[in-house]
Amino acid sequence: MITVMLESFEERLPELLPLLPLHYEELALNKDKVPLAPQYEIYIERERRGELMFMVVRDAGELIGYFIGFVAPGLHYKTCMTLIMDIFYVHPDHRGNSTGGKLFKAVEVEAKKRGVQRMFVGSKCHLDASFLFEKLGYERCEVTYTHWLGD
Amino acid sequence: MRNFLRIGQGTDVIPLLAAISRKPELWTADTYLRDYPQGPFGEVDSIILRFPVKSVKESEEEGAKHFSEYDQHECIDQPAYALLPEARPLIMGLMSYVGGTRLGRVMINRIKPGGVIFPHKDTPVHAEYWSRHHLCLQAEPGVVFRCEDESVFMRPGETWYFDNALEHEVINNSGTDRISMVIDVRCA
Repeated sequence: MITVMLESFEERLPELLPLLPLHYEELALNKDKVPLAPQYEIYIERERRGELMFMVVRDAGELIGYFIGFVAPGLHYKTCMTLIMDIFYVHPDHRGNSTGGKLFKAVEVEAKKRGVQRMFVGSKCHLDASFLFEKLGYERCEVTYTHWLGD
Repeated sequence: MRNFLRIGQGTDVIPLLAAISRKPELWTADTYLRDYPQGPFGEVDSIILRFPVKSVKESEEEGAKHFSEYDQHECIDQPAYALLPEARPLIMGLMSYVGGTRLGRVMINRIKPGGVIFPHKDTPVHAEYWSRHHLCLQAEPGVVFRCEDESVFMRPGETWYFDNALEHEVINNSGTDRISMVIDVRCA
């Protein structure tokens, strides 16, 4: 059984920790130079300010996916409450059975409750999830580039 | 959050849980709720501590006749209440805290992993008269208590009020039994 629910990042961090290296291994760039070292205290601080959304996917109690995003008025558009995705992940064993769709539907419901008018999500080029967002009716709007400048 | 209100936390529920563990036969002593025709509790074990005079009527007419002869809100102690004295201070503590004037149904419900209390609304006459509370005795992340478009995770030792006139369901998507004590209180 798959359920999706808003949970507390601060409370559930110990459960999240084992998934982060899997996520990093599969999706991170420049792994030989940039180790996984999240600034958890900043996530917790923003959650305490009401600015973080941590949506959790579980199967028989096990945390198997998550979405983390930040909710705040836009820096350029202070009248527009905006949700900007930070990361999302679904364990490989649970892909291909609408789990991602359920996760983002739950994110949308929670975002609407918080007054979000516009949300931004993204996908890595080397593990493209565009199909998921396009299936959900999202529009492609931006391309991001990266360039390693040296150690 | 409009449909739920957490009104307490940190209640020591272990003595009651320990007592239930010592008397597992109580889970199967009274299956009235589980067996209720087309009820939402088909996957739930219950220990019924207080309940109205039980009846299952075949027709609306029979039901109306029954209710004309009984105060349908009057709940009486069931045998399990005397066997679980550890429940009484928790119930009376809630009565005192919320200023209760009458004590209604009290049930301890157990949902196994993967089990659900199916979506339902409680009958308007019941939901209007009583305030519904849950004291969570045992739960792990993965339990989803939904009331309309809101969902909460009730932690052990927490007491919640929620509006049971609205559609609600409980899904136990955890690896452990979820056990909660339902306490109906009439408030001024």
